[in-house]
Formats: sequence, C-alpha cells, structure tokens
Amino acid sequence: MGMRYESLLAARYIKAQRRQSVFTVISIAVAVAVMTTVFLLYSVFMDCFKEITYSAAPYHLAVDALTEEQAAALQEEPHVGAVKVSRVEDGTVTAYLRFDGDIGDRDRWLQTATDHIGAAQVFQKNRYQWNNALMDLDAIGDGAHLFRLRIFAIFFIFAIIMELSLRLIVDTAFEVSSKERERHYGVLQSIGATPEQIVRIITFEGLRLCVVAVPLGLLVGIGFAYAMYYATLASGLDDLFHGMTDATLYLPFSIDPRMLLIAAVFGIVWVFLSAYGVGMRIIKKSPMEAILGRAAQVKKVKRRTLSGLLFGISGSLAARNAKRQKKRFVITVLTMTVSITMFALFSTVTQSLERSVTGLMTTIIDDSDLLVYLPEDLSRGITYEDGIRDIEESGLFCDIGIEVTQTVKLEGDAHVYYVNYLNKEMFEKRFGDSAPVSYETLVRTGGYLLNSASNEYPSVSEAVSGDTLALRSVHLTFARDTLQEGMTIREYLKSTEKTEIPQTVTILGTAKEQSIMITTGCCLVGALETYQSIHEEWYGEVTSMADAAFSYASENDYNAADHAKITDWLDAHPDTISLDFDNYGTRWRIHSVMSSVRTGLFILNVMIALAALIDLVNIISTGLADRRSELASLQCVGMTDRQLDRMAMLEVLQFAGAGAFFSAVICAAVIIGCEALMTAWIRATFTTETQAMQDMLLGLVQMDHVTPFLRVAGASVIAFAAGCVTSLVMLRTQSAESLTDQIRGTEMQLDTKRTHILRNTVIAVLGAVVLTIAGLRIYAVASFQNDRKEYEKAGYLHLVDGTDGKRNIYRTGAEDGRHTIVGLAGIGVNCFPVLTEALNERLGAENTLVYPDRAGYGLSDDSSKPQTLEQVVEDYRAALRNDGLAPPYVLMGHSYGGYYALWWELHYPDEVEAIVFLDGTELPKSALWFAGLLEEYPSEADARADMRRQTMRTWLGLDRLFPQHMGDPETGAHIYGASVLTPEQIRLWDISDHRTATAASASEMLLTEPSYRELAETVVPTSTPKLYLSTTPSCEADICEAEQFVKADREAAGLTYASDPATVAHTTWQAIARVVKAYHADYFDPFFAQIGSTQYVTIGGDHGLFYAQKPQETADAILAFLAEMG
Amino acid sequence: MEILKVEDLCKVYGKGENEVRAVDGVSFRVPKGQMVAVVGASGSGKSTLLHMIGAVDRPTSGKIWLDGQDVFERNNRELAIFRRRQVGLIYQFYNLIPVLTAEENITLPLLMDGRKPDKAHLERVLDLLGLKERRDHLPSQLSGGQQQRVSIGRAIITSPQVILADEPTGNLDSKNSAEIMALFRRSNRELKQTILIITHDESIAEQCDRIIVLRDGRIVSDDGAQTQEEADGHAL
Repeated sequence: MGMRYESLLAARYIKAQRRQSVFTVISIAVAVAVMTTVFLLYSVFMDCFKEITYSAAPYHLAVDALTEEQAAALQEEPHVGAVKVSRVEDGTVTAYLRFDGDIGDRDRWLQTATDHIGAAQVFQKNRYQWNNALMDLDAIGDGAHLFRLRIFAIFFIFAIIMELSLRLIVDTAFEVSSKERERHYGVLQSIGATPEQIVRIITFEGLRLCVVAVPLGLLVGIGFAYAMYYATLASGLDDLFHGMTDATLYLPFSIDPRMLLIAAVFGIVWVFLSAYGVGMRIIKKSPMEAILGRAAQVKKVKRRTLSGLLFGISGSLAARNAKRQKKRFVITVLTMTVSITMFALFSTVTQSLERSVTGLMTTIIDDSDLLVYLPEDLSRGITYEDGIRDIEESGLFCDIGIEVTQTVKLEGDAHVYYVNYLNKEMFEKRFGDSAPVSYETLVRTGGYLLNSASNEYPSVSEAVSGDTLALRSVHLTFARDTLQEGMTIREYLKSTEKTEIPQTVTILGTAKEQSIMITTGCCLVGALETYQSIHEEWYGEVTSMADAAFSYASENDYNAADHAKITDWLDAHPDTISLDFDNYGTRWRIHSVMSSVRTGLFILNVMIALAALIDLVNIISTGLADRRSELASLQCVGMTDRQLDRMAMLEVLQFAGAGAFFSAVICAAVIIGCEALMTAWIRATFTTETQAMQDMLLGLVQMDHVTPFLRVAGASVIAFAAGCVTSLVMLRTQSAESLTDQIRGTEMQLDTKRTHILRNTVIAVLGAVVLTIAGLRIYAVASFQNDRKEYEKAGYLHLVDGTDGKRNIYRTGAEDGRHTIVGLAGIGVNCFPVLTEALNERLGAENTLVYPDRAGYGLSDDSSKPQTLEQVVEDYRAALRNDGLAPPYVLMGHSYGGYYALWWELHYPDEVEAIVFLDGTELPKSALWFAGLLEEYPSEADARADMRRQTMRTWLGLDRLFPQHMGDPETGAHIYGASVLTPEQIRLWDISDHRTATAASASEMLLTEPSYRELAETVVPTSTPKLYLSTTPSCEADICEAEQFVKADREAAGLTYASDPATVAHTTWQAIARVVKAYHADYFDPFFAQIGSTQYVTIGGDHGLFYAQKPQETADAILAFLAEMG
Repeated sequence: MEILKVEDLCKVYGKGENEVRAVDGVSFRVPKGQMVAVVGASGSGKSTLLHMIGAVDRPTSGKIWLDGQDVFERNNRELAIFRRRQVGLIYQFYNLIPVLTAEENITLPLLMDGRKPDKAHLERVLDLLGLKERRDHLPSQLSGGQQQRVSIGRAIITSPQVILADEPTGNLDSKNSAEIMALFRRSNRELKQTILIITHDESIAEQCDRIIVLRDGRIVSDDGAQTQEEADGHAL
C-alpha cells in the first residue's frame, strides 16, 4: 500500500524526463557492461586455460609401472572418474587417471590407492606425475580450490577498480535527474513525506530503470567481451597456443550464466547505492531550502583570476563558478585525469615493456633468433661444415655466427681447457670492441686470445711465457671399420683412440666476453680459419662440438608464418642441424602476448573513455541545471547568449585544462619514476659490466617521452569538445523556458505527450533479438532447402520416410545387384556417398550400393530422439524398407558406422550377409582402453556444452555465414582430399558441412560411450563373414604413403609442403612403431576375438578418406571378400 | 478552544555583525476555527513565521504548540507525519508535482500515509474546489487559479488542524483571488477549518477574523489578542 505512490511517482518521473532517463539507463548499462565484460572474460579465460591445459595433458595423474590388473583396480578407488591406460615398451602399463571429486591430500590418496592395488612401489619410487595445472583448474587436491579463487580475485579486484570509476557515472546520472526535482522533493516533504519515503522514491526510480538498463548492459557486456576475446585471438594469441600445445585447439567463448548473474546483481546493488546516496543527500536539505532552491552558500571568491584577466567578465564568472562547486570540480577532474592517464600510458607502457623484455633477452641471452648444434656423422660423411652450408644456402638467415669448441691440456696439468674457434660474426658478437686485435689479425697470424671472463683464466694466463703458450691438443683417431650408421658421438668416442700432441701457440692478447649472464668458460679463442687449417693435425677428423647462432633474415615482425617456415626448414634438415634454442619462437610468443595485451587494453581504453565522456557530460549538465536560475538572472541583467556560451565553455575549459594538467603530471611521474627505478635497478645489478654495456641496458628502459603527452593533449581536446557541446545543448534547452520561469526555478517543462520509453525500449531490444533469431533461422531453413536442390541437381537427392521425418537414400551401382551394400557413414561425415564415388564406380558393376543418410546427417531431416544404436538402426531399416530394398545387406560401416553394423547384425542376424569395416571403430578389450568423449572433452558437461553451442550454431545457420571449414586459414582453400576429389565433389562436401551439428548428430556424439558399453557387453562372435580394411600403418612405407597424400592435398590446394614425406615418415615411425604394435594387441586382437571370423587387410592412406585415396585397393579387397563369400 | 499557541518564537540568520533576526520573540494564540491574516511588509518575517508553524523550518528558540503538543519535540520522521496529518501548506507558487494529475496531487498526502482516499470525501473536496472536470489534467494544463485550487485541495484533503497559506493569491488576478478567498471562507465556515493566511493585500486581510501585523520580526498589532485572552478568561 505504502509502496503504491512511491512507484507511481518513480514511474511518472521516468516517463516525464525521458531524455534524462535514457541518460541514466545508458550510464547504468555502461557500468553493468563493464562488469559483465570483466566477469565473462574471467570465465572465458578459465575455459580457454582449461582447454589448453587439457589438450596438453588430458589427465590428473599418470601412474607408471603398473600391471594391467592394477590399472583396472584403480578404477575402484575413491573419486576416480576415468582411467585410460597405455602400454609401455617394458610390458608395464601407465594409467592416466581422471578424478571426478576432490581427493584431498594428494600424497595420502595415492599412497592409499597404490597400497590397495598392490603397487606400493609406485609411490615409493616416485613413478607417477601429478598434472598440477589440471588439478588446480578442476579444484582437485589440497589447496587447489584456492587457485580458481585467486584468479577470480584478480579479476574481481580489477572489476572493482573499474567499477569505482563507473560508480561516479551512475551517481552523477542520479544527481542530474534528482537535481531538477529537488524542489519537488522539498514540496513532498513539506506536505508530509518522510525522509525514508523520499529516499524510497529515488531508489525505486533507479531500480525501475534497471529493468531496462541491466539487460542492456549484459548484452553490451557480452558484445564487449566477445570483441575482446575475438580481438585477442585475432592478434595472434591462438597461434601461440596452437604452437605451444601442438594441437588444434578450439578456444571456446562461452557465456557463463553465473557470471552474468554476478554482474547483474552488482549493477543493481550499485544503482541502489547511488540512488540511496543521492536520496540521503537530498533529505539533508531542509524542505524550505529545497523548495526555495537556495544554492549552496558562497563563502569566499577570488577577486582576480587568470581566466578573468584573459576573458573578461565571462572568464571571471566561469572561474568563480568552477571553484564554487569544489566537490564536483574535484570529481570531474579526477575521473578525467584517470581516464586520460590510462589512455595515454597503457600503450606506452606495454610497448616499452615488450621492448625491454625482448631487448633484455637479446642482451642477456643472445641476440640471435636461433641457436643450433651442428652434428657430425662420420659414417655418412656429414660434418659441421654441411650444417653451415645448409644454413647459408637456405637464404633464410643472416648474421651467421659459428663456434667450434675443442679441448686442450696445459703442460703438466691434467685439467681440460676449452678453446673456441669463432668465425668473424661470432667473434664480433662475443668480443666486439674489447678485442685487442682485429679478427683479420687473428686469422693472419693463426694466434689466440685469452678470455679474461673465463674461470680458468688465471691458471692459463700464468702458463703463458712471453707471448707463447705450450699445450697439448687431444687428437682422436677412430677405428673406421667399427663405425656404423646412426651411431651417436658418444658411441663414436667409445671406439676412439686418444693421443695428446704437444703444441705451441702465440697469444696475441687478452679480451673480455661481452655477454652478461652466460660465459662460455673457454679460455682460449682462435679464428675459425685457423681451426680449419690445423683441425686434422691437432684434433683428428671429428669436430665434436660445433654450434651456430643466427637470425632470421626477414624484416617482418616476429610472426607465426615465419616461425612455421623456420620450423619446416629445421625439420627438413634433421641430419645437419639440431635446434638448441628457439629464440625466434620465444620472441614471437612475447610479441603475440604483448599484442594481445595491447588489444585488450585498447578495448578497455575505449570503455574507460566512454565512461569518462558520459561522466563529463553528466557533470556538466548537472552543473548547469543546478544554476538555472542564476544563469537566467545573468541574462536578465543583460548577458547575451554569446557571453553565456562563452562562460560555459570557459568552465569546460577549466575542467579539461585541469584534467590535462594532472594527467600530464601523472604521466610524467610514471615515466620518470619507471625509468628511475629501472635505472637504479640496472646500476645496482650489473655493477661489473662495462660502461658501454650499462649504457645499452639503460637505453632499453628509456620510454617514449612524446607520445603519451600527445595523447593527453588529444584526449583533453576531445573532452573539451564534448563538454562544450553538452553545455551549449543544455543552455539552448534551458533558454526555451521563459526567463522568469527559470529564475523562479518553477516547473520544469514536461512533455505532456505520454511516451512509453521503457516499454518501447524493452520491446525494441526483445524485438531485435527475436527478429535476428527468426531471420537467421529462416535463412538456415531456406538455405538447407537450397542445399537439397544442389544435391538434387547432382543426383543425390532421394527422400523416403524414416521413423521420424524424411531420410535421404542415395542408390547407385547395379539395379538388382548380387549384393546390396549399405554404406554407413562415420561420425560427422555428411556426404559419404559423394566421397565414395570412386569406390562406388568399382564396386557397382555387379552390386547395388545404397547410402542412407541417418537423421541429422547429409540431407535427411533432423530428429530430436536420442540417437541410440537401436534408434539409428531401426531408422535405417525403416528407410530401406520404405525404399523397397529388401535384406540381406552387406553393411559397410566407416569408422563409427561400424558400431551400427555390429548392432544390426546382433539383433537382426538374418538381414546381415556380411560386414565390411572401413577402418571401423574397434571395441577395445576393456573399458580401460576406451576414453570415449573424454578423449576430446575435459568432462561430459563440457561435451554437452560444446554440443549445445555447435548445434545452436548450425540451427541458426551460422555454419553457412561463418564457415568453420578445415581449409587453409589464409586462402580458405579446401585442403583435405583436394588431390583425390573432383572440384564438384569438394563443392558438395563444403555444402554438406553447412550442417556441422544437428540435434541428432549431437545426441549421437554424446551417446558414443553408452553405445560402446552396450556393444562391449552384448556382442558375441558370429560366423557372419567380416572384412576389416585398416589404415593403421604396418611399416614406415605406409606412413610415407599417407604423408604423400597430405603433400598432394596441399599442393592441389595451391599451398606449399615444406618438409619431405620420407623424412616425416621416418621420424613418425620411430615415434609410433611401438604404439602401433601395442595397438594390435590392445585393440584389434581383442576386437576380432569378440566379433569372430574377421579378415584383416591393411589398405593404408588416411582414416577419413582412404577409400577415396586408394579406391582400387579398397574395391579389390571388398570384391575379393564378396567373391570368397559366394 | 485554542488550537495553536506560539510562544516567544525567534529565528536568527547569520552571526555577529551579520545577525538578522527574521522573527524576534513572537507570541500569539489561535482558537479553533479562526481565520487569521498575518500582514507585513516584505522582509517582516511573516513567511519565516509561517514556515516554522508548518514545521518546514526550525526556530532558533521559542516553542509552538499545535493541539496542545510541542511541534519541535518530534524527530524528523514524526515531523514529516505531523506535516502530513496536522497542517496543510499552501504556497504562492502552488508547488504542485508536475508529473502527477490534479487528483493525484490532491490525494498525495493520503497516499503517503498509506491510506486509500475516501471516494466520497474526495468527490466533496473536488466539488468544493470546482475541479471535477479537471481532475485528470496535469498541472501544466491548468490555469494559475486552478493550480492554486489543487494545492488548496492537497492542503485540506487530510482535514488538518491548521491550514497555512503563504500569499495564496499573490500570483493570481483579482477574479481568481476572490474565488480562492471565497473558498477559504467556505472551508472555514463549513469545515470549521483554522486558517492562517499570509498576505500584504489589505482587502484580503479585511476578510479574515483577525489581523496580525508584523514588522521587523515583531508583532506590532494584533486585533484579536485581547479578545483571545478574554476568551481564555471566559473559558477558565
């Protein structure tokens, strides 16, 4: 009851002062938007972080040295969610565990668990690794829950800081709207409204505005967060992550409703506080003061001001006014200063940070992009010089410094001393100006320098007599006949005879290495040319230590493409170059991170600027509204409009000027402070370095002294302009009233026309959302019909009824063939009949081929039913029956399609004549070997969330608008299968990918694990003939062949293939040979044992497309199998 | 029976040399149902006096009793409720809430009190004010006289013990002035309303039962004071 009139008044005020209300709504919306952005970014950050951590190592704990039984027993331990095992060479297995609950004390859990399973040695011998990063992210283990909290706290603090400045905006918005009504509140009090009631009216109004402002803020915030996320990824961060984890990551952008809730609640509380504060301020005035609109008492004014001197009476008044409202003046200047300073400093600081970090790295570590070791292999005749030649010939690099390290002994001393032979580049890099003789002298005389930075310097320098030094070189002689290909240096050295040969060398002087942190320890330095001439005589044939340091020659910034080029080049020269340090990669990463940070900060800047601008506009409007009657009086006594404008502009100028001044002071302080701190630090840390070195370091910490101030000036000018516009608009609006009305401060002008701004805004926003969704959906449906037409033109469309909705069945080959082969697509293969065209030609001569698209696949309708094995098979059967195709069938299941074939045969044995698995998914021998969804997602919830996201994408037709195809990121060329498919086939394939995720295919994906379990438990061996065509490589040649297809695809798509298939195959085979052997034992053998009577044939090629890559071999195998069957 | 008692009321602005005694030791009593005019030149302290009686301003010293209760013994909240229920203030410039209609403006004090306006009573008031046709208009759509009538309505809707009017006709033409005064007289007669009117218009003062003249914050003449004491005397 008591609420009625408060809400009535609030509602009326909102409507009556709709300009003001819009203003307030915008202010609240901006505040909520910032909150939303920050909190959403927190959740997105955590998601991405999790995704990266997860893809790097998808388990919480790895336990080594177990037997398979022990690994299985781990499943029974508390909190164990999933166990995946992998076989190790020595016959033991490693179990990868994922927990589904908090295990508390990690060590205690592991100790107990290993005791239970009888593997106590694992714990004692430390044969386990905790994946701490993922444990922390999933809040498992002691103290792990604090991790998320800590990160949340960082974001939270950040949000609060942002919000404190935004609070001012909301505050001033309320100030402005209540200012004009102060009189009314006075009247209300004089006729008996209690202070609480006044506060309640204002609060009510604020909360009512929240109804529009908060959702609006949330939407804008989501937009901002997405922009920030997108911009950050676009600036190279995703490259970075891909590079780091070596996996194709999809860094998700998800909207966490909890974060939205936090932001909304925060926004509302904020509004409440602001409104309440304003209310409290208003009721402090006595009703009479409010009614009479007595302005705050002016106590003292400065008679003479600079502004007065410069601009006459307008200036003088402006100066006095600004000083009069001290609090407002301070607040305005403060917000302006903060935002201008941030704007000016953010980019400068990040830029100099990047410069200092990379610069410091260059100085301290090495200025080269790459540090490599040049291996030798005597048996193959490879020497370090081949490596140098490769580097030089590549044309990719410059500043190639070479260093050969050899060992010598001093007379009467068993200690080994190092000698470095350097080429000119390396010599200058290492010794530069400090060398007493030039490199040319070193070469000409064949002499040496002593390195005073070496720890061994004193003992060697003592041994120098005059300018000569007597020493013994260590000569290595290999027994040639014992050398074998692939022997390592270590192995060489075993078969080596060492002889020490006395030598005398000339010492030309002492030099000091320039490097700060790393000293190589060599005490003698000679020229590489010298080495080349004495090498065999002194040391023998082998150069055991040769390194090169060089830089990438391109002028471009550090980027992913160039890094890939370098990596490809390195991969292509595995015999002559071995990478030690990839400084290019490190610099590129720093560069990416920094540019991402910069992009993020830029967007933040924009938001801050927006906030500050709104703030300024607000404050200036309140200021003028406050003095309405006063300004009118001035006009009454003859002040012209122009003078008034001038006065207002001068007031704004004071704000802008003060803001600019303080910002400049803060900028200067920050810059000078940073520099001073860094300088002091450098002077204190690098005390032993040369003056030149110190100067160089000091140069690094120099910041840009000009740009920040230019930015300050620019921002201040913008602020001034915005302020002037506001003032003039306000003055014009006010002058619409008669002067006497203004002086009396009587009723504000109301728009008597009733408007429904709130309702209209809500309707407009909702309408826009609904229309967008509807529009997208209509587009999706219409384009799907269009896609069907495209397929119809190509002859693929033939719709029949399934169990729910239409199913497309493509029939080809002989009309009434000897066998009816039914092709069952693998997961996500939407255009199976198109991809199998080459195969179909070969199989179709005597057989009928049928490709039904299951629900949600290809051109079939979607289905909302759970796509269990039973549902899919029954649907297939119904569709085939309705198309007049009678059993028996030969089921040809590709990949996961094999599961449907198995279920079909199990339940309708009479209908299945035979099964052909096209690299079908196996049933591993135990659940331990099956990871299901967890292979790809951290948890089922994540899988569901991703499926929802994907399905929504497809449902709205976004797959068409923004295709996520597997093509080349730059040219967009379709790579996969480009060499074996026709352009028309590829076109149809791309079209079919417009529906990447449907309700049915998402359901199928989520049901993979239960389906596996069902089959694993029910399938028994049968006599139905089965053929398994495999792409699992059996030798290096198989991999090489598959790699040839990769190469051909890239080349067909107009891209380059940098490495060499044979080399890749070699390395890959080395790495996976053991896994492949284990794969047979772990997967194929138990699978075939369970299903019975299976013939295994290796076809080779790629899992997804081998039947198109090698159609002849595939068809031959199938036809032979069918012939054998009879 | 006395409804209002003012005793030695002072209001001082400023300090030391700047001290201004706007109201300086004013005392008087008003019996129930009397219509009193307070007259005086501009700056004589009559508005300040009225505002103090209406509890929108606090006195520097002195006391006011309304219906036997000390007004300023109340806290802020109680004062607000006092203003809402026991006094009705009418201003020269009406001071209506521009976003509310005539009817809503009138019923506002009741609404604030959480009371539902009595339909019949409201109709009677609207009838008395001649605003029946204009009840749904916003103040900006009403003439000055009509607006003043709305503000009178707002003052009398709660049937307060005293109505305080600060130059109620100061902003109106003579025809409207006469109408407003007629209204006051009617409500004084028919509803036995005690009314205090501030004015500098002698013709208006003439229509009241009693005239108090203020100059420099002090009462210089009060034609009812004697009668009042006598009346008290009789009563005792």
